[in-house]
Amino acid sequence: MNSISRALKVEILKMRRSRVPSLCLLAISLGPIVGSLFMIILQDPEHAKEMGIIGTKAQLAGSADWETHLSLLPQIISTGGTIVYSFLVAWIFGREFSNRTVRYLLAVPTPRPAIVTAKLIVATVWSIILSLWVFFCGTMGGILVGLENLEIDFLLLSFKEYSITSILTIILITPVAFVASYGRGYLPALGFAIFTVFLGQISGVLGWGGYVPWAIPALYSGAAGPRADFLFPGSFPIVIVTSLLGLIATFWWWKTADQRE
Amino acid sequence: MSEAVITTENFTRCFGDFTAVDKLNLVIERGEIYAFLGLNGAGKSTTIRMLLGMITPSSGKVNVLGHEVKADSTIWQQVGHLVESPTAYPELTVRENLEVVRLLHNLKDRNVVDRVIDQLNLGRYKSRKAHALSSGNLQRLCLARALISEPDLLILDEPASALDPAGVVEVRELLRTLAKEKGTTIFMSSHILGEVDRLASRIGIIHQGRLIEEMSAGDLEARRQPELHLHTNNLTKTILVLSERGFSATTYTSANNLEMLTITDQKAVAHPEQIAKILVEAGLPPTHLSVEQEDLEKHFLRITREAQQ
Repeated sequence: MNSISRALKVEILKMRRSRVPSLCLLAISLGPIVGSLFMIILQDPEHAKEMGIIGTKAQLAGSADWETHLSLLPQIISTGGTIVYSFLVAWIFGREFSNRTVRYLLAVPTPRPAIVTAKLIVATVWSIILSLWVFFCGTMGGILVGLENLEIDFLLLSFKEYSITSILTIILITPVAFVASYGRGYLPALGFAIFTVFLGQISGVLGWGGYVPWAIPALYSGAAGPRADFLFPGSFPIVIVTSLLGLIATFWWWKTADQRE
Repeated sequence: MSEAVITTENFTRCFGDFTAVDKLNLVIERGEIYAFLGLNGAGKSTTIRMLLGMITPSSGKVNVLGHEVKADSTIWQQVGHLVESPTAYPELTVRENLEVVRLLHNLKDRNVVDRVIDQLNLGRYKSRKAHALSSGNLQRLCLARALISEPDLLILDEPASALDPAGVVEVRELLRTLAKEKGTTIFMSSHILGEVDRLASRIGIIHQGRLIEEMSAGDLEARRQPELHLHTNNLTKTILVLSERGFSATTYTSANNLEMLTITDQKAVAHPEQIAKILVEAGLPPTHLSVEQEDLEKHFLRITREAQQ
């Protein structure tokens, strides 16, 4: 068994015993539940008002069909995913500082890059599982609320768009991993994640979203309208470069970790 | 022929303007139990972290088990360590915490976990989560973690700090056996000076980042100052009478909570009968009079006080 496999076994054990992964699952499940609720409302807004589900002044865009319903899922994952995935990776890296176990990890025969790789693999795989879960719940929710005429080609196309948004969101966890390491705990990383969501929203509103990595997944998802109006050919490379910088910085920090606490 | 397991050469670490460790030169040989003593903030933990590659020295060199220590070194297979307060993954059981160590140390034999659980008497708690352990058992878990790979070198920061008296004796005997029978080298810091006195084969005292004294257990015996200890029914008057005769006596509380006087003046130590005579003549017959060698605690306090002056 090589060092990465051993470190991976350790990280999987820690994940299995923690409540954080299931809390993330619970939190992100709210997205497709709310999406399905919107479909119920859109199917019969007057009845929804009578039931007290929405206020009398509420206005919801779109119609109760698969196109609207499945278009909500990338928007959910681009915003909700940013927070939930960041929370997960902040915990995976930051807990070593909060539990003060980092002192032990820095002097074990397993090389530090193997430990970082294992942590990132676990964070990425769980984020992918969460993304798939959201799409599954969204689709099931649509069926349960009675949306009709789901075509398999449309479902696959929606899944492709959703997957690209998810990948753009997931690869942005690396700067969070760096902030959790550099900030020696999960609180700085959570603060950073909230800041990136805020930055993404503001830059989107100001029309600079195509240049800001944390706005690009949401803009790609169509949250602000047709993506061609906001994104340009360099938008994707910006996300990839940001992710790579986060990755390099995280490995560099762990390689040269110097405890001053 | 002796073999150096730890060698430091002008080992220095500064944090801004503050020098935590100043030109430390150490040579620890195989099978030694080296106790590293110092007041809080003296530089003990910084030294231990540098030995473990957790802090880069500002200057100087450190060599552990024949290799220069770097941030991501390859020597950790042969080194067991416990740094400062004991920590473990709180939601993992004792067994799982040790399984983590087995994996990270690439130990193929799965039985090592049970073996070390038995060695540290953790059998009753092996299925208990680390967050539910008492501080003493958490300390045992961390010691088990340090011992699991049967390392050539143990670097232990306060290994007995959270243990009860029985645990202190148990760990002392365990460390002594490891050094004697397996040739394990032990580098430890401790505040429990009575334990150090009984266990260490060599002692180093660090003060304000500098090694101010280094001695073997035999040297310590020779360097300890003998003192005269006495007790009378009126200590205040006794101090006054002795002072008039040129002897300075100070009070201290003995192990059995009795207010006592001590005189370090070597003339008094050499001739306790003269002190007895003075006191009897002053109507203060001593109820206790003995010449004793200072213990490590007093020696340590004297040395660090002198260094401060």
